[in-house]
Amino acid sequence: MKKSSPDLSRREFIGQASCAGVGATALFSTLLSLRLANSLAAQTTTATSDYKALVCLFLAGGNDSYNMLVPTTAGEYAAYSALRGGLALPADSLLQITPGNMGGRTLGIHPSMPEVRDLFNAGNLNFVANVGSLVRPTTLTQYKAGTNRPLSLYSHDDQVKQWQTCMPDKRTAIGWGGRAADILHSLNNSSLVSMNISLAGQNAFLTGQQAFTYTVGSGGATALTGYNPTSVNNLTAVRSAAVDSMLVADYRSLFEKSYAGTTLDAVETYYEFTNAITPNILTTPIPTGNSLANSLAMIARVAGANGKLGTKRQVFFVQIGGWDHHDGLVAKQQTMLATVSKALGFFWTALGELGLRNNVTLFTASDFARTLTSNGDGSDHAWGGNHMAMGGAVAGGYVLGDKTQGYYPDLQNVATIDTGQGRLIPGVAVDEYAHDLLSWFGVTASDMDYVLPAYSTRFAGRQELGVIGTGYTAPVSSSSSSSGASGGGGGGAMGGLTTGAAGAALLLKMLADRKARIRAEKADAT
Amino acid sequence: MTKIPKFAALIFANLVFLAASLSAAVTPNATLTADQLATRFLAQATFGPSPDSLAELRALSYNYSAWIDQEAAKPVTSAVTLLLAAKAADATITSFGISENRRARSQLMLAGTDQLRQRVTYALSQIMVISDADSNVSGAGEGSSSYYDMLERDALGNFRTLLMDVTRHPVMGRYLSHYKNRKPNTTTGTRPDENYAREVMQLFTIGLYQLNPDGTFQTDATGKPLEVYTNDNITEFARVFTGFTDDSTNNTGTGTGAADFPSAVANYTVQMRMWEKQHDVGSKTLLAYTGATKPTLPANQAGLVDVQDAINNLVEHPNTAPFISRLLIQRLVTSNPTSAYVGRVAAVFVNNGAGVRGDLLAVVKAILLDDEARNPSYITVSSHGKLQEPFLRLTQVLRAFKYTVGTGTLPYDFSYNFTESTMGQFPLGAPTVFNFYMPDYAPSGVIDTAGLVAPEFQILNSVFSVTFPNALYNLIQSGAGTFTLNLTDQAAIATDSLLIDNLDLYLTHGTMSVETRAAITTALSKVITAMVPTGTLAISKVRLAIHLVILSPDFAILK
Repeated sequence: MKKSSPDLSRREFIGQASCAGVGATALFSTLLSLRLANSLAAQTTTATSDYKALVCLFLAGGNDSYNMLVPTTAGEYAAYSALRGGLALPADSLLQITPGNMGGRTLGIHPSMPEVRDLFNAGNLNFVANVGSLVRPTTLTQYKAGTNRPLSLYSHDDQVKQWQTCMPDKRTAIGWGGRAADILHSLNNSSLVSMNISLAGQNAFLTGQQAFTYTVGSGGATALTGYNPTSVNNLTAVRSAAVDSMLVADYRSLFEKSYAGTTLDAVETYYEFTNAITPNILTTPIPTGNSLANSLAMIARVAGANGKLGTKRQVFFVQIGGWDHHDGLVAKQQTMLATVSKALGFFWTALGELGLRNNVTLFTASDFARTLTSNGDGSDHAWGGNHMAMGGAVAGGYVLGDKTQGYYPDLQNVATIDTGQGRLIPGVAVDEYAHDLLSWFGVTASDMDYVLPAYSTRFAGRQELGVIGTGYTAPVSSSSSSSGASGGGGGGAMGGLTTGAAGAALLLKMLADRKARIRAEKADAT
Repeated sequence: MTKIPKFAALIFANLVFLAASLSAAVTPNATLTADQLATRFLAQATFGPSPDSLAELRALSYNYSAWIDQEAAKPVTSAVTLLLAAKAADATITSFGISENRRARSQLMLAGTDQLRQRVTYALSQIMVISDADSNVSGAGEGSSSYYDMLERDALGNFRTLLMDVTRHPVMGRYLSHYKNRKPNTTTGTRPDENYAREVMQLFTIGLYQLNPDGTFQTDATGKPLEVYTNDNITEFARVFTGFTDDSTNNTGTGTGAADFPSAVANYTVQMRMWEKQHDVGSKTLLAYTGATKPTLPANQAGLVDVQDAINNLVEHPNTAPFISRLLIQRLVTSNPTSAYVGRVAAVFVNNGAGVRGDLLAVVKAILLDDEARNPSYITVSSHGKLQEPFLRLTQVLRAFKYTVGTGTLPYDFSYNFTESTMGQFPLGAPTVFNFYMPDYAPSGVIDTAGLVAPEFQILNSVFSVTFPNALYNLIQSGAGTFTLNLTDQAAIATDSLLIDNLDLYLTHGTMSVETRAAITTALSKVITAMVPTGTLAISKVRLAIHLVILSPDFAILK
């Protein structure tokens, strides 16, 4: 291990203290209070230089992303419509984009995502098409022969883990965000607050060999009631001393040991974390009723506190669930994608307010995409899907992907990549997507073998995706309702985000048409 | 190359572990009295030992087997009955939402005298999951409680009946979308929904990998586990689960040829009926394994015959016995049962001694009476036991201290104090069909390094490890929702070590370590009248003692 933390991690600290036979309860309490005091005293308000944060936005359940990004050139749309049947979105409802790299080939973004369309056109967001978990580049023939198959392909929990670990042929819960932190955490000052912060509980993505996850809610952290490490001569002091002695003790039961460690981390880290994010300096209004935006607001606040926390690197995990649309796909996705789009628009504005647009990169992930074919009113588990990366550092305005497939798979010719019912073999591995993000984040080529063990042996030599780079600012088309937000500068809020009113009207019409189609379907069901 | 070799981490962890075991690590007490052994048993078999339930065991001279038989003979209760009675009695209740359903079920779980059945029902609700986090379930009137009642009816019955009832329950139909699942339609290009077909295999019966009779994985030559089904199996089972719709007597189909489902009022409590004209009548391939009675289904069988054959195909699959046995052991006793323990229980699942497969009462008995569950020597085994999930820690506190509830309709109301937001879980409220946690979740650190799993740790994080004790603190200090604790008995012994003995009996089942006891004793000795409001010294000490116990690892981990 080349880099090791300049000071001991919490568990090592306690472990070593115990091994050394330091058993007195009172001494433990004093030590812990000192640690707390030191960590608080170390806080300054100066932003660290070279701060970078990676934000994983996980759409749990498997987003049907072939309705999030739809091909719109004539033949391709017809193929899309034929494959998807009742699930197809009407062509004229889509938010048309002309990516900078597809030779004029056009695509349409889901009508409820005008903020995403504007971010794309302004060069601040890109799509990666047909990306998924791959053991190595895989052909349909290989798939049919049973080679290169990820374990338990198409199952939720396995594919979630595989996206988060980049080890689709192993059962492991150590994720690539966690492994990145194993390598890079030494860049941060000693802090009780872990480099890896989750807004959505435990997950494989943030879990490293050493790195552990600090979880907060969208409202921040919570203090343990009745506990205060600085109280003296009162009931709280009595209680706090007893709590300290129970939580720092070394337990024989591995379960008791883990429980005590987790609880102690939470009880103590509260003080440093809360001090760092207080007062709230973020004034960008948070979209109401949007829990994802609330979580992203907390992430922005923590990123903005990088000076106080002394952090140069942070990895965040945030999740929005409910994408397993076996049923009611079109109506549910309309609402949920709008939530995502509004949250991303908000996050971009918030990062602008904090001057962190070039320091933070957000990317989406999901279990899998869904079958192109319909099960009547929804779609089932599939494989490769479409994703977004957003930030000042990303090469916005492009749709990236397998160049041999023309970046976005041609749905007129999916037979060679369809394992059945429209489950597409990914053209790009999650490893390749992750590689670009991690390179930007500061994982060196030599460390990449640790963070992405399969990348150099199985995927290097293929053309790099190019997630990070100079963006492409789309020329404002006359028919577009885009605000024409310019790609330059990180100034104020995105001006004039349209609500996609025309698209919304079309979608309403489409839902009505769809009901009619379902009626027809029933009539046909003889 | 800066790869961190896994073996180095392992060696390091083992050294720490070794050092820790050689030094004076805090060790649970394992010399238990008959009463303490009994409360430990009740913590596994019920929603927590209470003075009353301990008295039941004393009356049976601590004969656990007789107690289990006595429990199984108790009449089955019903949350739907509670809901309907509440509606009849209270004009303000006009419909059943999440709150009413949860209050009715909480009443059964906490106050039901059929505690074993309740606890097994709750365990099953974490295996065959529906969730009121889904609007299809929360909007289904009393449907989620009807589902709970169904699990309760079958909890100590036969697994084959249970699986058929789960499959046909209208709320499961809505949750996993096989309700109104149509046969393939070549005109519109639609095909059957695969949702239920996948999860009934992966989660409710056979799991992902081929298992040995003791639950260990069968592997290929390279040591990789062998998968037990393919996606083609799922598309075939999806065709079986077509044609289900609301129970009604309307036999007039809709659409052209009157082939589509008849119009009917949504029915959330009666088994779904089979509408043959939307059932896929083609022949189907089920799972092939040694001894499979019907690995293929001929064309043109009646829909329910297809479904029963498919259920049989799953129930009789060699994976099901060890798969379900392990999950039930994890819910009731320990996260890491030995393969021998799983094997012993699975053997009873295969044959209860009278040639019957899937006898759940026999299975539960085998789990709870096994040496690995009962022998107190396991208490000090560092890999034994489990983190008690927050809801069970809550019910244990309530039942230990003779809780009281308000007097209104459906009074078992936790309000905002105990919810997903404070506990990370609420019964029948999992975020997905994958429950609150995965059976193989391993938190990083000593548990993962030792190759162990600890499902409940998936919801122990820096949020819930604080918010949950805080909610309990409020309950202890002043009550929560409609609940208050009755601490009169404890206040009477507050100045004595009897208080800690009492808490140890009901909350830590006699396993409280010397160190934890010392920490609490020291704290109590330092509490003086000047620190608390006038006249509250005794009750303040009791509350402090309970709060410290509920924060202790001794209480959190059931050993």
